Amino acid sequence: MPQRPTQRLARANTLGLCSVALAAGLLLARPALAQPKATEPARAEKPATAPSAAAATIAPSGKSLVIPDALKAKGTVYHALPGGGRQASFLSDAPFEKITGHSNAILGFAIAGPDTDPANLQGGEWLLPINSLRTGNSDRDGHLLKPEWLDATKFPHLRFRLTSVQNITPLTGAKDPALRTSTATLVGEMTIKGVAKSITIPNATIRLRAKSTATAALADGDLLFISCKFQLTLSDFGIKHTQITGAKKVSNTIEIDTQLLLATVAPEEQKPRETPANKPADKPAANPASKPSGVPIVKPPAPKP
Amino acid sequence: MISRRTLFGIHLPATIIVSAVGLNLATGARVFTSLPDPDLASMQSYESAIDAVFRDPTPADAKGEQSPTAASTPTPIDNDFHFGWLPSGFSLGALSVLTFAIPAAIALGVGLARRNSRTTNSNK
Repeated sequence: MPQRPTQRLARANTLGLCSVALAAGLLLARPALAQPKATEPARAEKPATAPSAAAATIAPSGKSLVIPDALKAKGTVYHALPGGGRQASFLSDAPFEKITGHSNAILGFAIAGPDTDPANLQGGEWLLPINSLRTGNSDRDGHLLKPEWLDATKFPHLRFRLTSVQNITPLTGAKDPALRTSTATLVGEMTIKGVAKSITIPNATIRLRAKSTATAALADGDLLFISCKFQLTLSDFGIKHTQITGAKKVSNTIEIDTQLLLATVAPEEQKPRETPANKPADKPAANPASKPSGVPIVKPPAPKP
Repeated sequence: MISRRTLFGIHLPATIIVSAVGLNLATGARVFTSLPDPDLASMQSYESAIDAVFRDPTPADAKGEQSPTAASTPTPIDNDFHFGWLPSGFSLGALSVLTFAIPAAIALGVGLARRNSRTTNSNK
């Protein structure tokens, strides 16, 4: 019996509704399907290496760390400046997905060496709050906090404690003490998810810039900029997950890229400043390389034979 | 002239599928949809200012006193919109090739099936 137009329309509507419902069902089920499944039950890892010294604590302001007096006496203190540009990034380049994450909430400090060798850092410690990592996907940011990944409830921070600086090489021709740049190997202890490992970071760049009109655009005081790239293996820190071993959505080897800006003026005492993005475009920041100004923080290096 | 049934049953779903795949390819062919994040945008805004202050001098800048250094290139902050193959969450993150293509593919399948059945009936 031939169908009447109204019957056909009703059938088409039913099919349309079914397809929409199917799509909605798949959409709703996806987060549940994507729920990370740890290969092992979450458990507190015992540190592989006992921390070499008592960990620095966060200052009441929440913007810096309390620096032990013994370290303060060793040289000029530079404080990390959270809340500005990105300070650390990570890259997971897995076959199925490439993920980058960034944080600008690192707290910490570095102690510069003597005036003749300021890049010879006498100490330093940095804390990265796990909940400050941004990957451009809020769901994924939330997954990072879960016990099977970084377990932010138990271990809210990723910690790096600098123990020594080796192979310091002032870059060729650097004669201006206000613009000093060196490369060096940083040795320290990285603690992730309660597991501490000694790591060596070659080819770190340590740049010192004396206070000037150009540096004032970023922060008050003399500035220190530490940039380095290194790799970490997640399984070394007890992070084992089916998305690393099975689905290959996350790489077991993560590349960390640190771009850490520090200043002699503590973050609590920094004057509020507008973000560079808000500044008029016709006033680009002056390059201190072309017009060095301000008070040098270090003496010129002794000429080498 | 194309009938309304052909338009909505075949052409429109096919256009949706092709457009979704095209948008995915045009925005980087990522697996998951990603949207600009205000926190990342804030971090991005400092990049040029930091680079201006800490860029090592070139010979031209310092009249030959300093040589350029091999400054490490930081991992770029990717804060662009990417229309992924799969959704990355709820709200706008739910937009993806899959969420558009599945209903469109079903509609296309139904449209083609109905057209075939009509052709068969008219041939009898």
